[in-house]
Amino acid sequence: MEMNIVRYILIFPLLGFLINGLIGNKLGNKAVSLIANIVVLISLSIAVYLFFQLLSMPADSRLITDTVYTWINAGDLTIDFKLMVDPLTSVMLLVVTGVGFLIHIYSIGYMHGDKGYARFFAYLNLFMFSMLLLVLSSNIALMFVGWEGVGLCSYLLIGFWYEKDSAANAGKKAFITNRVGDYGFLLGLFLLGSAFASKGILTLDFNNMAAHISLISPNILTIVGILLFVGATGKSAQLPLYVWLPDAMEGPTPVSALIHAATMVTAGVYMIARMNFLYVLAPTALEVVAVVGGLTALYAATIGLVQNDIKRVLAYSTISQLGYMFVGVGVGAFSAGIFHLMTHAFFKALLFLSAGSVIHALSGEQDMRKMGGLKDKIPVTHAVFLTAALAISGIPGLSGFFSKDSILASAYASGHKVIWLLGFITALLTAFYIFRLIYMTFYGDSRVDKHAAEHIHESPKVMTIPLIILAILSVIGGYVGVPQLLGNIVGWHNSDMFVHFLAPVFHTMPEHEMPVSTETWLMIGSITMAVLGIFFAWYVYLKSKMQPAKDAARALPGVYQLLLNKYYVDELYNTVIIKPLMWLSEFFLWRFFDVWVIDGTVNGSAYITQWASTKLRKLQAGDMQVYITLFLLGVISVLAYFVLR
Amino acid sequence: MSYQFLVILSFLLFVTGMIGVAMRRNIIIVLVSLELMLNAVNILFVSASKYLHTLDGQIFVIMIITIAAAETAIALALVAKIFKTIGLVKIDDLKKLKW
Amino acid sequence: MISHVLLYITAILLVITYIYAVVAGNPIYSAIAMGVAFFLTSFLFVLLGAPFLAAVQVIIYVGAMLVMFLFVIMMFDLNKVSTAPVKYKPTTILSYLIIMLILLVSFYMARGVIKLPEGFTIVGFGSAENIGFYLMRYYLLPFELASFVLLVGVFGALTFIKKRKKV
Repeated sequence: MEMNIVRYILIFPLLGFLINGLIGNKLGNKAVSLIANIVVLISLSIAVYLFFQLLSMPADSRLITDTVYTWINAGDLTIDFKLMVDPLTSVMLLVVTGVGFLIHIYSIGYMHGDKGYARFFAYLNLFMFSMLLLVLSSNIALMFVGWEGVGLCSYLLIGFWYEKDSAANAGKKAFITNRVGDYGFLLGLFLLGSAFASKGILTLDFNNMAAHISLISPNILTIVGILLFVGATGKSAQLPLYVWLPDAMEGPTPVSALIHAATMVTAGVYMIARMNFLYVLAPTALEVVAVVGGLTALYAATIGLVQNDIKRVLAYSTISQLGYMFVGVGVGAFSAGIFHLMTHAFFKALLFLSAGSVIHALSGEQDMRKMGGLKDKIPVTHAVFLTAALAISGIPGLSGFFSKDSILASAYASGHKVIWLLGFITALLTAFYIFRLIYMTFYGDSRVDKHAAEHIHESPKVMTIPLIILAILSVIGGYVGVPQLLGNIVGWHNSDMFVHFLAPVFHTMPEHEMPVSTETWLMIGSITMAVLGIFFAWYVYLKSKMQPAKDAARALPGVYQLLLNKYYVDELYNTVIIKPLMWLSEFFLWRFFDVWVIDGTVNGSAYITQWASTKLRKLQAGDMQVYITLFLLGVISVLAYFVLR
Repeated sequence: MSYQFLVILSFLLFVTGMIGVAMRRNIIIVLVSLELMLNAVNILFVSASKYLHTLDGQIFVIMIITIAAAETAIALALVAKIFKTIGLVKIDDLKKLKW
Repeated sequence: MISHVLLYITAILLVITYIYAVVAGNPIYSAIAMGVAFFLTSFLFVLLGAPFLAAVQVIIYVGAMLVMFLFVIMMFDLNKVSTAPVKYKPTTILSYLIIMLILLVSFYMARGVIKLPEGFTIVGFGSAENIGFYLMRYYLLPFELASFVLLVGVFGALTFIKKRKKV
C-alpha cells in the first residue's frame, strides 16, 4: 500500500539538520532545542501511526511503501528512492524514534552551556535522518547510503569536542574502521547484484531479491553473506573490527547512548535480519555470524570486568550484548535477535544516560575508583541505574530476561550447544561487571574527590524524566515477547506477540522443538547465572571492601594485565597494520611516488615544454628572410599537393 | 622549341631569384632579386600566351610590370628612409619583427 | 631554326646573368646585371611574338626601375655599406632544394597534360594594336585599377620622403 506520509519521517529530521546546522547559532539555544526535538517528535508520531496502520492490515500483507523518486536509471537497472514499512521496519522505527526522542530531550539538559549546542543538535538530527533512511529503504543500495550516513554522523559526533586530540583521533578511528567493514559490504553488494544480473534480473530491491533468491547458487550466497557480515562487524563492533567503540566514548554521553548503544550499532543486526531470505539459504554464513557473535560476547565481557572508566565498561557491555544479538540471528532466530535489539536499546540507553547523569553530578569524573557512596545523594539516578542493571543481567520480570533467554533457548534448540555455552557464561560475567559498576559507583565508602563532592547534585528534570521513561520501558518492554512456556504457566494470553508480529518478514527456518523440561532447565540456568554474578560482585566489592583489584593483580597478574589492557589488541593492530601502512605511505607513496613520479611528471612536462620552446623560438628569429623561406616552402607544398593529387 | 623548355627556364630563373631573396644580406640585392623573380614570371606568362594563342597572358604581363614598378618605388623609398635614420642596410639589424 | 638557336642562346645568357646578379658582392654590379637581364628578357619577348611587351619592358624596367635603383645606391653610397658574404644557412639551402625538388616533380607529373601545337608567329599577334584592343575591350577595369595603383605608389613614395615636423 502506497502512503506518501512515510517520506515525512525522513524529511523532518533533515529539515532540522539544515536549519540548526545553517542558522542554529543565530537562533539561540531555546529555538534550536525546540526545532530539534519537535522534528523527532513528528517522526515518532508518524512511526506510531504507521505501526497502527500495519496492525489494521491483514497479517500476511503488511507492507506500506512510498516511492519518492527514481534515483538511478542506468540501462535496464533502476534503483528507486523507495521507502518500505513492514513489521521489521516498524519495530526499528519505533525504537529509533522513541529512544531517539528521549535522548534528544535528555541532551537539552546535558549539553546545556556547551558552545557547540546548535551543531550538536544539527548532527543529532542528521543522524536520525541517516538511521531512519537505513531502516526505511527498500533496496540495499539506498540502505548503504544510510549506512554510510550514520558512519559519518558517528565520526562527527564522536569528535564533537574536536579540540581534544583524543576525541579527534577517536572519531578518525571509528570512521576508518567502519570503512574497512564497508569495503566488505560493498563487495557483497556488488557480488549480489551481479549474481542476480547474470540470471537476468536487474534489481537491488529487498522484496524483489527475496522473490528470486533461489536462483542464485548457495556458494555465491554464502560468500555474499560473509562479505555483508564483514560490514556488520565494522558497524556493529564485533570481532575483529570492534576497536573503535571503546574509544568512541570520547563523545558526549547522549551520543554514546543513541549511536553506540541503541541505534547505529544495531544496524548490522538489522541488516542481517533484513537479508534473512539470503541467509537462510546460506547456512555456512549464518554459522559464521553466530560463532563470531558468541565469541565477541564472551571476549568483550571479559574485558569489561576490569575496566575502571564507567563508560568503558558500558562500551564493552554493548559489544558483548551485540554479540548476543548476532547469536540470535545467527542461529536463525531472527525475531529473537531483533527482540534483544529492542530491549537492549531501552536498558543500554538508560545505562548510558544514567552514567551521564552520574558524571554530570560529579562534575566530569568518569573513573569509578573515585566514586562510591552516591546512593543517597543522587537517588533518582541510582534507582534507574539499578533498574537497568537488573534488566541487563536478565533478572526475570524485566525485559532483558525475556530477550536474552529467547536467544539462549534458540541457540540451544538449534543445536549450537557450544555457542549456547558461550552465551551462558557471558550471562554470569554480564551480571558481575554491571553490578561491580553499581557497587563501585553507588555503594560503599565515598572515594569521591573533595572538590567534586561539594557539588554533587541530582540532574535536572529534563534529564531525569527521560531516564524514568526508559526505566519503565526496560521493565515492561519485554512483555511483548513472553515465551509460550511461561505464558502457559501464568495464564498469559498474549505469548510471543513479538514473534508473531515479525513472522511474515522472516522466511521459515526449521522449527526447533524442545521438550518443555529442557527449556525450563535452561531458563533456570540463566537466572542462576545472573544471581550468581550479582552475588559475586557484592561479595568482592562490598563485603571485602574493594581489595579485588590488588588481589587479582597479585593472584593472576598476567590475566589481570591482559584484561586491563584489552588483550593488547589495539597495540597489535597498531604494529601489524597501522605502522606498516604509515611507513608505506610515508616512504613509498610520499617520498618516492609523489615526489619523484608525480611531481617529476608535472615538473618534467613543464621542463620539456620550456626546452622545446627554447629551441622553437629560434624559428621566430625576426629574420625576414627565414620567414620568406618558410612561407615559400609552405605555399609550394600546398600547390604541389594539389598538382600531384 | 617547346613549351616545356620555356617553363623550365622560367622555373630556374624564378628559383634563382628566390635564393637571392632568401640569402643575401644587403637589402638592395634582395630587392634586385625580387625584381628578377617577377621577371621570370613575366617570361612564363608570355610563353604561355604564345602557346595558347591568346593575348591574355601578355595583358597580364603589363599588369605585373605596372605593379612591380609601383612596388619597387615604394621599397626604395623605404630603403632611403631607413638609411637616413639608421645608417646601415644590413638586414641583420632590422630585427624588430622578433619577439 | 635561327629563332631556336637565338632562343637557346638568350636563355643561357639569362641564366648566367641572373646568377651573377644574385651572387655579386657589390650592389651596383648586381643592379647592372639586373639591367642586362631585362634587356635579354626583352629580346626573348621579341622572339616569342610580343613586340609591344618588349618595348614596354625596356622602357619601364630598364628605363625607370634600373635608374631608380642606381639613383638610390649612388645617392646613399650604399656600395660602401658592408656587403657581408652570402649567408649560408644549411636550413635555407635545404629548404630551397626541397622547393626545387617539389616543383620539378610537379612539372614532371604535369608533363603530359598540356598539349600544345608548336609555336608559331602571326603577324600582328602581339602588336600594339592587338594589345590595345584587348586592353580597352576586355581588360578595361584592370587597366584603370593599375593606374590607380600607380597613383597610390606615388603617394606612398612621397610620404616617406616628406620631412616630419618635430612636434
